[in-house]
Amino acid sequence: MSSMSSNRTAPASKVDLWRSVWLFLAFTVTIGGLHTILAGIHWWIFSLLLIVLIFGSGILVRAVLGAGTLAARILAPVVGAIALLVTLVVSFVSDVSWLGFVPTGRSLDRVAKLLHDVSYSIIWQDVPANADAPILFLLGLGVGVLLLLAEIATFSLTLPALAGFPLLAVFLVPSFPPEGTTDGALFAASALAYFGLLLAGRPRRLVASLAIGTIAITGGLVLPGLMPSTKTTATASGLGPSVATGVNPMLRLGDDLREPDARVALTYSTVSGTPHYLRLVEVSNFFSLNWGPTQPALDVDNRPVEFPRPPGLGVGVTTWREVSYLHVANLLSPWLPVPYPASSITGLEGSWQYVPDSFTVASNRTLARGENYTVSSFVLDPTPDQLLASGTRVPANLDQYLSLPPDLPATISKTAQDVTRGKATNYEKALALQEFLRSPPFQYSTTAPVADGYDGTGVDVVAKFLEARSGYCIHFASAMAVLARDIGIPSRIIVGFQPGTLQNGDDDGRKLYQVTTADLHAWPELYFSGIGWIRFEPTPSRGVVPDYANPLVTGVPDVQTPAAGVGNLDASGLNPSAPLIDAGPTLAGWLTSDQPNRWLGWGALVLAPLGLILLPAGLRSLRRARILGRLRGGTGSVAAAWRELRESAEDVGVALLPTNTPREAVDILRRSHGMTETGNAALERIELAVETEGYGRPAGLSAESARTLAADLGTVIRCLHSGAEGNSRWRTLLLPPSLMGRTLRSARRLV
Amino acid sequence: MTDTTSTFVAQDFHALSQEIIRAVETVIDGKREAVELALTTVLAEGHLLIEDVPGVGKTMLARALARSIDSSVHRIQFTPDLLPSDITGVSVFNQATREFEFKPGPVFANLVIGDEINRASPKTQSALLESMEEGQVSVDGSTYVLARPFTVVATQNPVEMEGTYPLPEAQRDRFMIRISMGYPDDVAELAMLRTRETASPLDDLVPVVSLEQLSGMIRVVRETFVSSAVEEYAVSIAQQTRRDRELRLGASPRATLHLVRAAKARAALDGREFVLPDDIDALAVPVMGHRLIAAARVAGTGTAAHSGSISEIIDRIVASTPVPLGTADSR
Repeated sequence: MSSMSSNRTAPASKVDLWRSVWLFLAFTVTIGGLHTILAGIHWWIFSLLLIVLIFGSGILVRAVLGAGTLAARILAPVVGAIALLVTLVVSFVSDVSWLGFVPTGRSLDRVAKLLHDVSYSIIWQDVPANADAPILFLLGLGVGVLLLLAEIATFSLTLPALAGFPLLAVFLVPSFPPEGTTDGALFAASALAYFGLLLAGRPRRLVASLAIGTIAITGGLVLPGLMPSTKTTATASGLGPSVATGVNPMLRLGDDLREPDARVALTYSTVSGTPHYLRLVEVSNFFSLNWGPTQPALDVDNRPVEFPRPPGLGVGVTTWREVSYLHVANLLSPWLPVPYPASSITGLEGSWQYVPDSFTVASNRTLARGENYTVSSFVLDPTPDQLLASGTRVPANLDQYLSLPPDLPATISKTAQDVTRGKATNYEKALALQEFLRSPPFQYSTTAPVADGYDGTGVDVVAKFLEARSGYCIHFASAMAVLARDIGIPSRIIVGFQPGTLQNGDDDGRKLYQVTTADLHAWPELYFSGIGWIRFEPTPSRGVVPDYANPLVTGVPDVQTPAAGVGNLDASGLNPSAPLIDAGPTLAGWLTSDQPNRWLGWGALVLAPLGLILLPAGLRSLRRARILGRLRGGTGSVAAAWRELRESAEDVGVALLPTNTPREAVDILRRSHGMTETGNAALERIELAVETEGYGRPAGLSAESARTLAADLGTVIRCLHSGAEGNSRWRTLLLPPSLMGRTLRSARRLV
Repeated sequence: MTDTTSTFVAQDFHALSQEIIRAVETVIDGKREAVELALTTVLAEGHLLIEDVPGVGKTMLARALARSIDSSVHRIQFTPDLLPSDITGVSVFNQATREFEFKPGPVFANLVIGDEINRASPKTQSALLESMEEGQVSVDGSTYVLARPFTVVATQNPVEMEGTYPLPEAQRDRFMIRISMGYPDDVAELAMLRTRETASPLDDLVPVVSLEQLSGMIRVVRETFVSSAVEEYAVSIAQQTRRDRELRLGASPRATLHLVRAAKARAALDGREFVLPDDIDALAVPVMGHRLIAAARVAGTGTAAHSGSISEIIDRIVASTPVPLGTADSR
């Protein structure tokens, strides 16, 4: 005799421990999935710490107070929450907290600032983003809350199926576009409805919970992959114009320029009919390894209806007014394309703010897509004399536009000195730099930097570019900006669009220009005292050299004629005959795009339904395997085995009624299709076991007879399956009626 | 209980019961089911009601069963003029001792065969039925305990209605099992002709089981295990008969008790130490058939004329009652 009867149901604490372990694993893996949007591994380790702390404290509380007790149910999440709070305080705001871990009013201020900064950090960073303090804090807070929810669902409410929500929420994070809160609200609403459903149904069975969890997680895995979301295209670089992703355009600009299928970003017309450069972002900090747009402090008062006077613009400079009508087609960018210097923008729907010094227009709430607006701007037309007159004077407040990293490669300074030797004024020096970069042996190439490994930004990249002398706009622009700073001219890099191409149609009688992703461009702006910031065009074969910087027009002495002509609008070096597909990041466009990731998409499209089709069969097999496995392990119960046998019979269309006694049921099975001699012998043993265990004196199933039962059960089920024929066999396999019946019964109980 | 004696008797049980059945079957051909049910009743310490048309062997079955067990057997032929004291016994004045002396009636036996019980007056019937229920007889203020084991096998002729007093419901409820003999099939009838042309086979029947052995067998039956699942099953069937629209009178709690006790005997006869739902299924009609009254029928019923439909109703109820499985639900 064995003591198996005590093993028939595992003790509650053991079940709880296993649940904790599974939760731990699930969250560890799921949060690891955030690697697509977060760089490094420290954030994952931080999350791991929180997982261990929160679930660990739950285990501890239950061990002390007893699993399942009301006190444990209430206290476990409370202790977890305290652990989370202390961890966050110690990790982020310990210096302003009492004793290092008790939050004070000042800690709250700091937390508010962290939360404020995090939105910028998310919007202005490229993916995978560096998990800086604000992001890490948000991650810790979010993960912590989700962990607590999972803990409450699993242990306090004993509805482990609900833990699928927090998991799903983690899964969905990378797929949330940075615009609006609609999706979040929808998710919350559907989550609420699902919660109600679960609460009403209270599917206590582990299998049911498993099934629900699997569906939820599968959905979480498959759906974000299928949905044409912005971040998806961003993470799979090369799928679309990355400026459309709302992340750092600097790094991805090369990808956009190499993208064979240019897409329409925007169209515009101007009153004067002249095309204009359209600025998106300013880059002025050359310190970090990867240059990115300077994170602006957006002030809600800086509404772009009225701009201040452009910085540094003197009274004598010729300016004329221009009015541009812009329509943004497909630009998922938190920056608005605007000509420089704008004086007012009207017609915007979203909430936009201008950044005072750079005059860029940004938003941390909305995206440029779909905006129709009118921009009043100046066109600066300084004369060479005015520019020459500014000499080498530089106002004191422009230090940030002059700073360079201390470890600047020597070649940069040397090049700057060599090129500008003998030039007296900043203007002449700037012209010399532009001419130097526009002339051979410098050549435009979107591919060379990739091959040579300097496809990026930073002073090191500039140094490499100056040696390799091949690159695209970002390299020319940053080279000129860095060289200019080195010789004392304030400079900044602007990323935006070159003027685009003239279209056949018109816009209320005005000339219409179309700007595509192939027009993405970067150029330097240099500051001249008394004139302000003006644009230069150092990239050969791209863009338009402004009049004041064009020796042909200005006739400034000692400046050679540039090799490339003026107004080279369509010399992008890309295939001009390629059709412009205005697909946008839609599923169709995504699937038709000529990229290797397309296969991934097709694969997902094929595999997802396949997975769904196989899901019932999988669940069914899983359950059978679990029951058989338990029996083989010497535990398990006859009742479970008997239920499994009945359901297997149901699956192959052998009707066993709940009103059949085991003996009657066995008789029916004995007559069923496919039953063999061995099957009958096995049936007999099963019958005996079921009757003895089910109706005899309670004795408990010995490990040996459990194993025998498992073997017999397997034999009989094989017989039953071999007896099923043709279509019914497939239907049986793919849609096991027992599984459906169970679901239906649960559904019926709900009604 | 001690394990050794119970297993010893349990082993004997099977052999002995088979011998009884074989012995009875030498007299009654082709009525295996009826014979088994009769033995079940005896082993379950119940009373048996054999109901059928004349000449199918009701009395023969009762007598064969009585003869195969070496116990005291009395037979009472019920007639309209039979008095209660003819059954229970009378106190007579003994001239010699000058005291009243109890003369036990035919009910003082292990096996009492009451032939054509519906011919006696209700008063007389009651006398028998009360002693059946209580296991004792009260005469002139004194109580006399009946023999143990005590089984009444009563026969009843449902066709002959004139001058009879059909048992009222309350009385029928006291019988554990009612069987209808039914006509023998052609083979059995032919065999019967051949064996009985000359002499009654009853004369050759010798007892195969002693009274002690019978008591042992009864003890085995009592110790047969009934799981709560089976109990629940029996109860839910009984409950269902009380709710059924086609029934005017459902099963009494005594019916449920008899059902489970009979099931224990059946399980023991089948060589099992525990009762199966199948035992309940098999005994539902024999145990409940004579107690239930169909709704649409005229009062004064319950006779064989309606037993067909009653057993159909019972079969339907049994077939629609879910069978619980004993062990705790595994998780």
